[in-house]
Order: sequence, then C-alpha cells, then structure tokens
Amino acid sequence: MVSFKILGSASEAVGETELEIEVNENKPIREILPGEPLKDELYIVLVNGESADLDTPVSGEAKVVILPWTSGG
Amino acid sequence: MKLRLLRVDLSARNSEVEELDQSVIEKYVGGRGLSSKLIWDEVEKGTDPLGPGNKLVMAGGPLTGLPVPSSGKMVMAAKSPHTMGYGDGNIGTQASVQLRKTGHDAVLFEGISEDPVWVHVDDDEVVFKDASDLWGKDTYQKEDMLYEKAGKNIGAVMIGPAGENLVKYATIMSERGRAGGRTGMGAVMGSKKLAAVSFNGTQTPYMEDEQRLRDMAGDAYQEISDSEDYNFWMRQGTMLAVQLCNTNSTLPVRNFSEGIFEDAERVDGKAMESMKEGKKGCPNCNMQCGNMIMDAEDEEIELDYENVAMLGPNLGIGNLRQVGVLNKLCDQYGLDTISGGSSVAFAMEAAQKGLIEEDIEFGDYEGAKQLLEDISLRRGIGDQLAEGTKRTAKQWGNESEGWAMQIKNLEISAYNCYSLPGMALAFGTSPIGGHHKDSWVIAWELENDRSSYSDGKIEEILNQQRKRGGAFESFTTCRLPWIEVGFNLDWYEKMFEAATGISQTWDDFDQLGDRIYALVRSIFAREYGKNWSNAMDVPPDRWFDEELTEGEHAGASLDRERFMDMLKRYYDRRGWTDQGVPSSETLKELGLDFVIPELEENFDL
Repeated sequence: MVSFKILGSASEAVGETELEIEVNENKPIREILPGEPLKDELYIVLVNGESADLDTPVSGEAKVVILPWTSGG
Repeated sequence: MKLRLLRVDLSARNSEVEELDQSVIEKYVGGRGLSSKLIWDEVEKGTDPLGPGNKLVMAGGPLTGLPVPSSGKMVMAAKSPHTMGYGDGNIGTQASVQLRKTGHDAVLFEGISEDPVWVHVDDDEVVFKDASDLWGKDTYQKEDMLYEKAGKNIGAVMIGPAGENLVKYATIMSERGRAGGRTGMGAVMGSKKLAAVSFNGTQTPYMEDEQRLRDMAGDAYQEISDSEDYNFWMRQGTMLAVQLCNTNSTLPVRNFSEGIFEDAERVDGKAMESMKEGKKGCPNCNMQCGNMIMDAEDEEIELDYENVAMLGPNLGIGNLRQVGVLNKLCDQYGLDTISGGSSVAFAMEAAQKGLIEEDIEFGDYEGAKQLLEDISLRRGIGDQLAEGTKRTAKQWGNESEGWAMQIKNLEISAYNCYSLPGMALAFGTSPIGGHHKDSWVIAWELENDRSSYSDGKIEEILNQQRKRGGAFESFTTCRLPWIEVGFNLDWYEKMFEAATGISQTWDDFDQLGDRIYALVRSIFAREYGKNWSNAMDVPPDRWFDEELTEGEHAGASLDRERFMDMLKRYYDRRGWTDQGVPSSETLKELGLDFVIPELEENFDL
C-alpha cells in the first residue's frame, strides 16, 4: 500500500490527512489522490523522505508526504 | 517625513523629542534598522547591559500602526544581558499602534530609576508614575492594574517577576501572552526599574498619501483572505509545525536528543483544534496566529508552535493542556518560553545524568512548573538556570556545554537540526543568537537536497535574512503573510511609498537587510573584541557528535568540517572576513564607514 500523509491546506483539498491506497503499477501522485487537484507551486512533496513532485510515479510501499510551504513558528 | 524619537531619561526623570531627518529613514527605515544604529552610536563597548549606560529602544517603523496588513508590531532593542551583543525582539500589541498615535515613532530609555516607575506617554506628555504597587506583580496582574488606573484604551508593555529579578532571558509582555525581546529585554527593563510603559495617543501616524494607502490596504487584506492557504492557517496557525516537524524528524524532543515524539499527536495542531476556544493576535492583522484553549487549570491560554514544542516535546510532556499551564506561567512571569523550556530540559537531562541531585525528569509536569517558577524568582538551581544554559553548563561541567542548546548564549528555538545543515546555518548566523525568526529554511531544504551543504541553501538563507531580518523587522510588520499565505512582496514597495513618500524597491530593502546584518555583527564584534571568532556562529556539539536514534532519519548528524566550510562560504557571500566580521570594503559599500575605526582596534578588516 502506498501511504500518504497530507499536511496543512493540502489536506483540505484532498479531504484526508492520511491515506493508504493500493497502487500496483507506477502512477503519478496527482492521479492517485482523491479530491481537488493540488497546485504544484503550493506544496512540497516527499517520497520516502526524498524530494519529489506531484508527477512522481509511486507504487508498492512508497511513503508520500505532502506539505505546504511554510515559514516556521 | 521625519522620525520622532522620544528620549526618556529615567535617572533625571525628564524627556525630550529628537527629530531625525528623512535620510535616517532612507538608510535605516525604523524598527531594527533604527535600533541597531542607536545601539551602535550610544551604547559604548563594555557597557554593563544591566547598568545605567545601556539604552532600551522601543521602535516602530514607517508602517507600524497604519491600516495595512499585520502592522501592529514594534521592536524592542538594547545591549543584551544574555548574549552581551545586540539584542532585540518584536512584539505585536496595541502598544505599537498607540506609540505611533502619540506622535512618536520610537522611544529610547536611558539611565536607571531609583524606584520602580511606570512611564505613561499621553500624546506629547510623558508622565513618570510610581510603580511600587506594580513591582512584584505578575504581568496579568500588572496589566489589569494599568487598565484600572489609565483606562483600557491604552496600549501597554510590562515585565513580570523574571524581568524584575534580572533573569537573562526575561521578556517584555503585553496583553496576556504577547511577548517580545527574548534576548533579555525584560531584564533590561528590570534593571532600569521600569515596570511598565503605556501609550495613549490621539494623533494619526504620518502617511504621505493616506488615501492611496487606505485604497490599497483593502485590496491587500483581501489578497490575504483569498489565499488558498488562508483557511487552514486560520484553523491552526503556526501549530501545523508540530506535525510538520515530527513527520520530518526535526521536532525538539527531550532537550533536542531526538527528532520525533511518541505523543506528538496529543500536542499537535489537530489536537489543538479539538480544544480550541478562539483566536488571538496582533492589531491590524487578519491572519491571527494565536489559538486559545483552556489549560489544565481551566484558564485560557494562547498557544503557538514554539511555546508548545519547547514546553511540550522538549520536556517529554505530551499533554497540551499541561503545556498550556507552563506557557501561562512563562507569560505571567515574563519569561521567554523558548529559553525557559530549554533551560528546564537542560536541568532534566542533567538530573538524568547525575550532574545535579534535583528530583526532576523528562515528562515531569509538576517539576517543570516548579522549575519555571524557581528560575523566575531565582530560587535554588533556578538561580543558576536564570543565567541560561551555557553559563549553567560552565558551572555544572561534565561536558554539559555540548548539550546546552544555545548559540551566542541564546537558546535555540524549536527546530532540531541533526539532518538540516541549512537550518543549522540559519540558526548559527541569526543576528541575535539561536533564533529562527530571520531565516527558516526547513521547507526549502526538504524541497532541495535536504542533507546537502550547498550554495543554494546559503542563497536562500541570505534571501530570507534580508527580507525577514532586515525589511520586515524595520517596516515594522509581521513576516508571516509573505510565505504562509503567499502575500505578494510588491505590496511593501507600494505601501512604503504611500506611507513615507520615499520610493524604494526590494533591491533597496535587501541592501537594508545587509546593512543591518553588518551593523549588528559589528556591535557583537566590538563587544567581544579579541574574544570574537567564527566559533560564535557554530551550533552546539550535540548536533555534530550525537545522532538521531529514532525515526526515518536515525543515524543523522551534522558534519563539522562541511558545516565550517559552508559557514566560510556564507561569510564570503556577505563580504565578511573568515572570522565573520564585515570587511572594510563591505562596510563602506553599505555606508557603515563609521564603524571601521573601532573594529580595526581588534580585527584585520
């Protein structure tokens, strides 16, 4: 299962904060996520801790984190 | 436009107004820019920061108090008793707005009052009021008394017992939770026996083109509230950072020994939302960041990320309502939550390692409460911890300085950098010590080769330091709208021109940032003299010599050699020497020739 952790305003667009979705063959993240399409410029995408983007293909046991640009507390 | 500086002599109990001409605004703008110039000019090398020679500045800027987004801020600055260099902090409060409504842009306090005093500025009138009944009261009590005596229309700042007791990281407080000046500005007020300052004004602050400013302000506020990030920001504010940091192993946990916390979900933004009672923020702000909950004593408390992280996970405490009580205690005592949290964590680790006999351990809520009180009142080991973690480590020994989490004596705020070389450099080169406000590059690092020591990270740090540490601190407006909701930077050129009649671009504002950084660094270099070196910009040993042991980034630590090389490249980009002192060429380019003679006494520029 590909696991998604979706932080901040991205979670409002997707409608979930955590998801697990079975993806057997590589597929771009933006095609897997439910909800409203995410705008590339608003979010940082990490796949297995490495920088990625919404077009990065994932499958299997990938761990995806999507978080908004932020500037600290 | 001229700047009106109110000079208040607490020894002689008199005041006068000095008008500073437009060239000062063009070169230093206000806020931090103006404050750093005043401190360089008027606080001589070697001045006791808690003596009569130190000067305390409360400075707004040309945008402070005007009808533009997030403009309720002012800067409070002095020689810091904690870092022994330039110290400041900004605070969002009605006092900022009222300061400008009195017809003044900044106030400079000098001398020392013999007895506790409350200075009330009522338009042009400056009244020195007996504060013997205020002295000893906490900040909540003081504010209630001020409102009772002078009416609720005033804007007031005050210190608590921590400031009165000269705790090195005592803050200046306002409005039950608004805090500023974690570099010990509260102690400077305490040393001057200045219990409180209040402002009550009836004037309209200077606006070169008021109609233009008001017209554009409506659109500016609208741009903020239309942002796609706005709704979530209003839900959680900075509290999102708990989850963000925990997810990325950058949360300070148990005195920065780990980066993830097992109870993070109990203290994060989502947990806060389940307890939320309301919001609170600065004047003139439509994206208020403070979130109110009821604490474990059933009293309202405003929560923000730094406070929660430093008083929660960093102490091993995973109960948000208990964290709220610790936050409230700091606010009432006028104690910085970051340094306070770090000092308590330091004591907890010292007890764990057998350096001290006190019965306190991570997760000990009652012990933390007691220790925060002991620090504020300078009781027992609290008296040592009131001096900060580095000075305490020198007394407690056993290589504890390596896990005294500070830079230039100032305790590092709530981001754990074992796996973040860029953020570690941002902390190291922060102008006031271990603080995140000027440059926070974690998001940038996550997006761009997190583990690298790249030139790109240096450029991003410089970019943020110029804008956040230079321009916003001098306008003086909050820096949060820029990144958090994508507020367009072009607004500031337009608002600045309408407010002042002076046309400046972001190139000018960026140079202002470089000027301020060079001037603040020059103050540090002058103070430390031969004792200054690039070691002052290096984070504590813990991040280099220890590793994260839990989470996805287990095994991560900073590489000292690569960090020092990155620091050198940062100095090169700034035009500073290998020891981190601005070169004479750089100082001349920035119009700071006047600092060269004093620096040349100790440095080859």
